[in-house]
Amino acid sequence: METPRSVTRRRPVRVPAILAALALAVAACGGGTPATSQTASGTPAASATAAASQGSGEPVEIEWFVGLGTGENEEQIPVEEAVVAAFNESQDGIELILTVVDNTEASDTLATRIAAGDAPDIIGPIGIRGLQSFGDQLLDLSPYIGSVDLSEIDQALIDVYKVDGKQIGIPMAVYPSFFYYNKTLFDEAELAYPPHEVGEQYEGKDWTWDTVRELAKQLTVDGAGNDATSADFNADDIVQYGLDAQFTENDARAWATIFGGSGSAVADDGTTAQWPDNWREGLQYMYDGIWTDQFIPNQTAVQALADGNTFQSGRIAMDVVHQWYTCCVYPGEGEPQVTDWDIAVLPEGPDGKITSKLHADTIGIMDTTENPEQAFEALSFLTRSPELIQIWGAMPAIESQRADFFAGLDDRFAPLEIDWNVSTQMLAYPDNPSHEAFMPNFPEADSANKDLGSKIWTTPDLDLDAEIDAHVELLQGIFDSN
Amino acid sequence: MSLSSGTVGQIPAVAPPRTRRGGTPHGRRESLTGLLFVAPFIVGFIIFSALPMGASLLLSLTDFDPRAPDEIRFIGLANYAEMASDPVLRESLWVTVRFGLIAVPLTLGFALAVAILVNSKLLVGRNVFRTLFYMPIQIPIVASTLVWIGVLHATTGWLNLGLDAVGIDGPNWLQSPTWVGPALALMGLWGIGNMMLIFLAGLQSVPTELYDAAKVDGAGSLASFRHVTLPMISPVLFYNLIIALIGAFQYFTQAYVVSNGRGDPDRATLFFNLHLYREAFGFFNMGYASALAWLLFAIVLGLTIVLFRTAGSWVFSGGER
Amino acid sequence: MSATAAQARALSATGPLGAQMRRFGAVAGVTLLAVTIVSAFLMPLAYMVATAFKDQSQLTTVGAPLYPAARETFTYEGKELDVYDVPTPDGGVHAWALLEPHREDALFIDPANPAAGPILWEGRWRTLQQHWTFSLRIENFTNAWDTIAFPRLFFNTVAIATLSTLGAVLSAICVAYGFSRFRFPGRNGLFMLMVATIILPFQVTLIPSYAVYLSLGWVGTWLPLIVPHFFSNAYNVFLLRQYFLTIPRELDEAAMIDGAGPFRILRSVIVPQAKPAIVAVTLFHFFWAWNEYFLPLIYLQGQPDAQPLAVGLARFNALYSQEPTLIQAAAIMAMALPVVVFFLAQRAFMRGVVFGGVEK
Repeated sequence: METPRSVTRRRPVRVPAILAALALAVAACGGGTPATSQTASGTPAASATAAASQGSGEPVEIEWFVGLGTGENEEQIPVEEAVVAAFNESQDGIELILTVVDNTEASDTLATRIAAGDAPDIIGPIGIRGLQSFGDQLLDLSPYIGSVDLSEIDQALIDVYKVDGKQIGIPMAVYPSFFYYNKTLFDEAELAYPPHEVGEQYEGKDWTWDTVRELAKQLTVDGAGNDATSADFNADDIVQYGLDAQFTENDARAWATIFGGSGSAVADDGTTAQWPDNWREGLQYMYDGIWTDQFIPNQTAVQALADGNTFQSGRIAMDVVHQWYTCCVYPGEGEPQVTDWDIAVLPEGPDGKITSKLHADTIGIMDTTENPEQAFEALSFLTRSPELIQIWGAMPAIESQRADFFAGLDDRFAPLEIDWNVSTQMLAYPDNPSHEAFMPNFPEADSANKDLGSKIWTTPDLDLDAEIDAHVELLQGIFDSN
Repeated sequence: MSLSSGTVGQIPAVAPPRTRRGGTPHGRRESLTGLLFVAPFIVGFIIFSALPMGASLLLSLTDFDPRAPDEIRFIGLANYAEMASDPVLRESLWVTVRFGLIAVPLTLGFALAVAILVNSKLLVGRNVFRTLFYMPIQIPIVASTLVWIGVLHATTGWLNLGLDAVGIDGPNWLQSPTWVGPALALMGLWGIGNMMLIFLAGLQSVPTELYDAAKVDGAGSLASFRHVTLPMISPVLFYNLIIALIGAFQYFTQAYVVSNGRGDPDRATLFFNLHLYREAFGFFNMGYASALAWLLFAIVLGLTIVLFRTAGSWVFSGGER
Repeated sequence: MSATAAQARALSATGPLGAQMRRFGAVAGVTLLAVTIVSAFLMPLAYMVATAFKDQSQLTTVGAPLYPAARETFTYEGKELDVYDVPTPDGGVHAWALLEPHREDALFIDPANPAAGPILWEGRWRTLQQHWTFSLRIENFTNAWDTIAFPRLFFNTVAIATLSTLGAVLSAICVAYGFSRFRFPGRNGLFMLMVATIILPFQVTLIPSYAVYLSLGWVGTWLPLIVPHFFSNAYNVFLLRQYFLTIPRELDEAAMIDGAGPFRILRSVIVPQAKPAIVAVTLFHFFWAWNEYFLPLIYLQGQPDAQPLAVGLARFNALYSQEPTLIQAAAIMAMALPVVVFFLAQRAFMRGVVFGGVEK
């Protein structure tokens, strides 16, 4: 019988203050129970471990925790392992350890470990939304950042990671959003492809969401071959949808931003809840698209389409997704359903502007780390590793690295020739403020937005305006309870 | 085993008459022996359970945020006071109780029926049937929840395709507030394996001669079920009831998976533990979540004690004293 | 059986043969009932098996059969074309390959005569029947096997489950014996305390428990998954206690008269009498440990080589790249051993215990 692989953590274990306090309290409350002796023997044991681990001349262990964003896909893990191995080969002083946790459990796991005093050193890739949950626990990198050349990175992007005067991240990757479109479905309908250049018209019409609606209806088809513009169209038997915005996880802010443009659920005073008019219009567009014109799949339909990866099913003509979707447009297994696709620019919204909601990723260092310098060294190595950027589908924040990045994608998708120029153009139209920006009492407010999204996605015949009014009231309550 | 032979020597050859009170030398020895046997539990409780349980009780008096353990503040009973004004709490208790009232009797009844079926001498291939009925709970949870999401899908799920074939328009099981409860109960029926196994073990303890005697007395199979089987398996029935009750109040995993972790649709699956989980790890209100946990603890422990109190009147025990 | 049936037909349906007939009828009836219930009960399992053998693309293709199948294709100028049944105005139906679909017409190739070039067909291709052939995708199993280092994880799972079961069963027998056969002060209180340990939701004890194991230096090892079970758990003890209570005390007392001490009584009276319950506890603890997901995930994170199968499987369930076919294939492989173990072990429930099986 083999004993379990014992991996004692060599770096000092911070016995959490809470545990000590509790031990005392339990001892006091427990009176004469044997608990007293137990807790008394437990604490010295832990400090002995900590003491034993400090004196040795072994390399410092730095743990990198992956799972809060992308990076946990089955085909991404081997690449991450290889980069970690390469870093460990490259020097002697630091041993980098990779921890990959399934996305569903990543946040719980990380919170548990922070609470127990066992936080990892490096976390990421982590997006703007993730920063709302764990940003306060990240280390200010300003003292270490001197060695890094930031001149090539857009200042606005650097500022995204400036929280309460702390620079908690270096912009590593940006992911603009745009249309992925299935050329096969356009060919079948004998329709022209959507525009690849900002300002270009579509068949003599301005490229707006109204134009997209008309196009998407023609690309929504039932089992008998009628499209959504036909009187014979059977909405109970739709086999192909014109439009989707997949992987938005019911987030009403994301949907409002895609179809309505930039906005915020918090007024400028930072405490008043609101839902701007362009966001109302945006949600209304989406709602009508799902339930009236039916060119956008509802939740039930989405689950039938490749478990949410809808574009992959080959039954979505146009899909608003981010650059990172290059991770998942070919699955690891089986025959691809989408054989011929390209990307197109987003249309003008109701506010008269193009808005390409932007995701951005960074890697951060937890402020509890015992070895910030070594952690930063490892972090710099990771941010410079093109393999990681490639496998995460992340457009480098550093402009000069982008040509290589797109060349790598071209190799991967050959013989398709994807017009990456679309992606670069869309980068100029980010949502500002971000659809993942701060709200007071963030986790609860964010959850409330998803409840609204869920309702929109699953419930026909809603009075959407009334729902939004009620939602603003709900948000206000959540903001106030902060 | 040397211990046992050592003890043997000290036991009198002839058992003394049963004593109802301790205090005699024999009673003291009996106490010691008993404590020796339950010692593993006592030791394990002290090491592994007492501290976490005590900690959660203390945390319920704080505003503990797991992300910022150092900023913990003692806030007295504020968390318990907050419960009074938490509408979601009432909603989630109601969702849980309503589900328990349906699911507990349903699964107990079905598990018992299946156990009797696969215990029947009239069944050809009992081994195979037992294995087949047990199989679902051997499926890893990641896989089985995906299977159910697939099977219960409104348009492509096999259940509705089957209903369609016989002319019934199946509901949107997982996205309709009305039907998600029955859907979860259906999923629960699939997991009867352990209950069935325990009933099966209980059925083995019914002495065959009791059935013979009942037959001689002219009892039909229904009467012998009522007067022989039920009383004789009442101890394991009691066990299954208690465990099912605790399970119903802790109902979480399936609800989490089918509801996107949020109690969808429209809070119809916001079970008590899902509410607790969201407070603890979704909103990082671990202090309040701990208070919720102790509320649940009080409710379930209360119910359990009541059941134990009533047990004397209906649970058969041949060997207790 | 057929001989019996023939004889039964030849003779009148009364007397001993009539009873035999009735018995045969009852056997057939009960078995038929069981078959009916089990088929409905296992429908989701059939779905699972079918999924495990499908190509991922089949899951989302309109009109695909429910069984695992491959699209029939014809390769024309380097492109794989799907084959459909195409009716033509002359009343014939042809198996043609779809070259270029349009809304109201389509170009087809006749696989029997590709040299003839594209055939223009008027009509809607979506209304045509596509050709599928039964085909099992075995690669799902081999790919899943390779991706999660199946043998390694399998070994981990067996080791963790076996060790934890060993501890759980031995300790549960002892503790349950103590609770059911001896009187000592505070017995009922202790028992309720034990039941109470499973009432408090694990979500709120997770962090303190993690802190305890961390201070013991056990995080990152199998110990948190194994050692606590050596100190018994309420589910197992409670069940065994309930069962021990049904064993008549006369049996203990008879053994005591013969000079047996408590350990011997446990070993030679209680354990043999309680065999079905002990087997039940062993099985359900083993299978529980086999499929335990959350605790191994928490305590073995970052150590894919030390994890059990249940955690490894989740790799196919990433948020943005779900692979249901691989999950189900891996799940089937993961449950193969437990199913065999159960099949062999349930013999313990075959014979009813005879009252007073031990000599009085």
